[in-house]
Amino acid sequence: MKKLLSVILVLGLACTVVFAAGNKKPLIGVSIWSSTDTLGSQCKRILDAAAQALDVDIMYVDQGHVSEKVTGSAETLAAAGCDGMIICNSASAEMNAVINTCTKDKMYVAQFFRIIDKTANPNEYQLACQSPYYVGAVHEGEIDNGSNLIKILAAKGCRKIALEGWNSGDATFLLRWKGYKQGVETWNKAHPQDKAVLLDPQYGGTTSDTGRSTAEAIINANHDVDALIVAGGGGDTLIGALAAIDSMGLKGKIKVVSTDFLADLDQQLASGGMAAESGGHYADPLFAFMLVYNAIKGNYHKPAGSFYEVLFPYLYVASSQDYDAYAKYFVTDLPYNAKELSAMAKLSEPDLAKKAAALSIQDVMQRRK
Amino acid sequence: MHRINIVSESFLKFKTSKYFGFLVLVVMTLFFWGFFRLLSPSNFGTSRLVISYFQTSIQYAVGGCGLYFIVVMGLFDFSVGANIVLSSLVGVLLSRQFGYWGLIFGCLLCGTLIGAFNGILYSRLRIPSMIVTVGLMLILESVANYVVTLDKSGFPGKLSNSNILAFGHAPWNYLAAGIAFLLMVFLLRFTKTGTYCNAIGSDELVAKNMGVNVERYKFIGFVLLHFFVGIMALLTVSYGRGMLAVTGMSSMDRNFKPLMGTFFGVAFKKYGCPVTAIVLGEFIIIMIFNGLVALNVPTTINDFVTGAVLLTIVSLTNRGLKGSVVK
Repeated sequence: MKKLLSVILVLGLACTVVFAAGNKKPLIGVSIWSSTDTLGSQCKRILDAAAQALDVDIMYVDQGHVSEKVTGSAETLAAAGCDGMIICNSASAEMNAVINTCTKDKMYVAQFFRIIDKTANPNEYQLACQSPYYVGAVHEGEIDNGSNLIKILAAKGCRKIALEGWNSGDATFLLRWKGYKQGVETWNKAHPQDKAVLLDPQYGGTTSDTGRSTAEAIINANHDVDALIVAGGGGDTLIGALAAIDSMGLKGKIKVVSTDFLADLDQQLASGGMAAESGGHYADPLFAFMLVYNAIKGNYHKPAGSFYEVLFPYLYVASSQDYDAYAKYFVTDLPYNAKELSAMAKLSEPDLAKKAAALSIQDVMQRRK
Repeated sequence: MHRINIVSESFLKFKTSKYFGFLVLVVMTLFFWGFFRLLSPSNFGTSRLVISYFQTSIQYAVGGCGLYFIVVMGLFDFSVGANIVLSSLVGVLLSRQFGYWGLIFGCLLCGTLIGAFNGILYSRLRIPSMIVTVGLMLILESVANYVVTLDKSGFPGKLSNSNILAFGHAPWNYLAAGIAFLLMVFLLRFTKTGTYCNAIGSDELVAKNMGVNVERYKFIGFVLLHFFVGIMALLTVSYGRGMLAVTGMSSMDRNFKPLMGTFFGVAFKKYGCPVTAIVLGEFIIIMIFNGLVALNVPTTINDFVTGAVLLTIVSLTNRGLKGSVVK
C-alpha cells in the first residue's frame, strides 16, 4: 500500500512539473525596499495590474534598502526561477553583485527609480553595458527635482533649510542632495543679499518613529530652521517628520517639502502641514517591468555596449487643487487600464520611453475622454 | 584607627547600597548632559529639550523593562521587534472599528498572546531561546505583512484618525509608561515572579533544587516581556503615527534600543535599582543621539558612539572578577 501511494505521489509530482513546464508563464521578480509602505504599495498596485493584464506571474522580495539584502534578493529571485527581475537598489555598488547574479543565472534585470552613474560608479556602469541581461533603467531627473523643491521653498521665504535623508549613501538621495545644493547655489547667486542655507543631512531611516525622532533632533538642534526637506524614504519617514513638527506646535511655521506623495497629501496641503511635494512617479517601475517583459519575450535587444535609459517625469503638487486632479486619475484609479497596459507591452523601446516621458495628469485626462 | 575602620566599613556598606546605585546613575546622566551642554549650549540640554529627550526615551525604557525579565534569567528573545510591528498593526486595524479601545487592547492583547506562544514554544521545543525566537521573528513578520493587507482604509498601518493620537504626546504617553514602570517595580519587589526570575538567573540548578518551577517562571517571563512589548507597541505606533510591516529580519533593528536599556538594568541589578537604571539608561542613549545631532555629527557616527558608550558603561559597572567565568 505504501509503495503504491509513493508511486502515485511521484507520478503526480512529475505530471505537475511537466504541466508547469509546458504552460510556464513568464515569472518576473520585484526587489523593492518595501511593498507595504506608502510608495511601495502604490508601485505594487500598478505592477500587479500589469502582471494581470499581460498574464505574467509576479513575486516580491522586500529588502529594506539593506545592502546585503538587496544583493541577496537577486539570488532569491533567481533561485525561485524568475525569468526577469526589476530592482530598486540602495547604493549603486550593490549592482555589481546583482548584475553578476543575473548574468550567471540568465535572468533579465532592469532598475527602477535608479540609474548607475557613469562617473561615480564606472565599474558598475561598464558591467551593466556589457551584460546581455542588464536591460536598462527607469529613473527620474533627481537633480532637477531637488533643485525645483529648493526653488519652491525659497519662493515661500525659507532661508534656513534642514535636510532629513533616509539611508546614508543611497544613490537617489545623493542625486537629490546634489539638486538641493545646486538649487541653493542658484538662488544665492541670484540673491546675494538674501542667501539661503542648506544644513547637512541627518538620516531618519524608512520608518515613521525613526523619522520622527530624527526630525525632532534636527529641529531641537536648529530652532531657527524655517523649512525641512524630507528627501524620501517611501513616505513613512515623512509621516514621522510631520508628526514631530505637529507635536512641537510648529505646523505651518516650518515648511515641509518631500518627494513621494502621501496618501493624505490633500489634507496636509490644506492644513499647512506640507508646502509642496514632488511625486506621482509610482508608475516608474511599470516601465522597468515592460523593459524586462519584452526582453524575456525576445522583443527588445539592448544596444551593444549600452543599455536602455528611460527618463520618468515627476509631478509637482503645491495646493489642494493640484492634488484633486492628481487624486482622480492616480489615486482613485490607475493612470493606465488593462487595455492600455496590453498595448504598452507591444510598443517599441523608443515608443515606450516616449510614453513614459509623456505621463502627466493632462495625458491621463486626454486618454479618459 | 577604630574611627577609620568605622568610616571605611560605612563607606563599603554605602557602596553596595541602592543609594550608591542611584548616585552613580544620576552622576552619569549629569555627566552626559553637562558634556554636550558645554560643547553646544545654544541647542542642547535646555529644560524644554530635556523633556523632549525624555519623552522619546520612555517607549524604549518600557521595552527594556520587559526584556529584563528574560535577560536576567539568561534567555534572549529576537522576536521583540517583530512583536512591536505586529501588535502595532493589530492595534491600528482594531482602532478603525473600536477607536482607543481597539488600539490599546489590540496592542496589549496581541503582545501578551505572542508572549504566551513564545513561552509555550520555547518550553516544548527545548532548544535555545535565541534560536526559537529567530524562527518566531520570521513568522511574526509574515503575519504582520498579512495583517496590513486586511486594512482597507486607504492608509494601511497608519493612525490616520487624529482623535486617537493621545499616546504620542504628554501626558498620556507618560501615564502609560509610568504605569509600566510601577508595574515593573511591583513585580520585581513584591511578587514571587521577580524573586524567582533573579534566582533562576543567579543559578538555575540551585533554584530548581530549591523547588522553583523553572519552566513555569520562564514561561511567565516571556508573557511579561511581551506584555511590556505590547505597551511599547502602543507608544511606538502613537509616536510615529503608524507602523511599517517589514520582512527579512528587518524588525531586528527594533530589538536593540530597548536591549541597551536592559543592559543598564542588569548592570545595576546588584544595587537593587534596575528599573531606574533602565529608564535613565535609555534617557542617556537618547541624550547622546541628540547631543551628537546638535554637534552636527552624522547619524552614522552616532551609532558608533552610542555602542562605544554603552560598552564602556556596562564594563565599568558590571565587570566580573579577574579569573571569573563570563557567559
